[in-house]
Amino acid sequence: MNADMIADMNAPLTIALMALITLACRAIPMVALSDPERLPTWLRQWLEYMPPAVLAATVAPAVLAPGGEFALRPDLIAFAVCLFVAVRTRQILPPVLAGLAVLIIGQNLGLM
Amino acid sequence: MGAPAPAAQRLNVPGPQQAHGRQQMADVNQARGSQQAVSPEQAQTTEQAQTPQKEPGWRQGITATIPFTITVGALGIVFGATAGTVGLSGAAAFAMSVFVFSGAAQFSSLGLWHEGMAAVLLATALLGSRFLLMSASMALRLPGEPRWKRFLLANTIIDESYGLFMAAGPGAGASFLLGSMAVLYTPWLLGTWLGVKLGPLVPASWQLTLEAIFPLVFLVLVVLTSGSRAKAVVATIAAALAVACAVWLPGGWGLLIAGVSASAIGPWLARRLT
Repeated sequence: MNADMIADMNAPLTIALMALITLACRAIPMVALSDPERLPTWLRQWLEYMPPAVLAATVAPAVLAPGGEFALRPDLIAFAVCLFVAVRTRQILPPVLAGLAVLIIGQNLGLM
Repeated sequence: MGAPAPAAQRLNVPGPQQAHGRQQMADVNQARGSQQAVSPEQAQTTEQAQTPQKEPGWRQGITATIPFTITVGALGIVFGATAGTVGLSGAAAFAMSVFVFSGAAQFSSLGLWHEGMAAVLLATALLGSRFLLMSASMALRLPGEPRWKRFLLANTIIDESYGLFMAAGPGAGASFLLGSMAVLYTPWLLGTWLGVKLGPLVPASWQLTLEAIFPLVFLVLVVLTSGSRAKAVVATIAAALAVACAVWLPGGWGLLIAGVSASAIGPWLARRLT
């Protein structure tokens, strides 16, 4: 596949830059900032909401609009079940297994 | 819902790491299984807190972290196995686990791999931004350590090690962190390697099902990081914005627009909703 080749060519550089960015985020405050209380409050509050926003923004298009086309597909039921179980249990394995089970059953019945 | 909740709550330390899924996930994991293995935290956070104790060293760092090996190892396997599905070679996937060592950044990079390097790096920076806060608050707990040592210790920061370190109390220092790191890094690398090896052995007819594991895991991570109502609303808004951007805007701009703007209204929402 063409896309695979492109991805592989970019891989070493992409990974190196990912490592660099992550290292910078980890190390700069630790080395430079001896007093995190000096960070402006608005910035601290903003950063606190970054993980749910970024994670949701990453996964939502992959589930709801794969390939840039919004589509309601039958396999969304599996994701809905996963979401429901995740909210109820707040654990990782049960919702993933529940979603997979629905998906596998649906596929075997020819519904998904 | 019932049993694990109180213990998980007790283990949760106040501060930004409550926002992070893998921490909560691991808390739950701790609370469910190995109560004995988390003695330093438990001692600090339960009634025994008053009794004088030795400062938590690398031994405590290791024992406290052992329950996390299961979740970290399992996530490593899933990462290694799914990396191949977006065209990442086994060596590249392993190198990423070695040098990046951040589950959230690595998984999102798989999701965005075909969007190109800019989108991947943007996601890495946005997801890495939480390390800025963790790093800043950890710096206060490591007084007197020279700068080169702080630089090396900064590499140990992930959601789990941060949560454990902060929960272990002010006595915990560099050695606790290093012990904790050793126990987290090993299963992450082993898991990635195993996943890379096991991924291609999966029959082709399973491929579609296997590819669904990534969005399923990620969906759970969203739920686990959305610990408050404001955070859940932020996640929902971010999801809607990102889908809208994916449909109407070219490239990987959805992540920047949705991630930055949705998180920015979080503090305002939190004041409104309480």
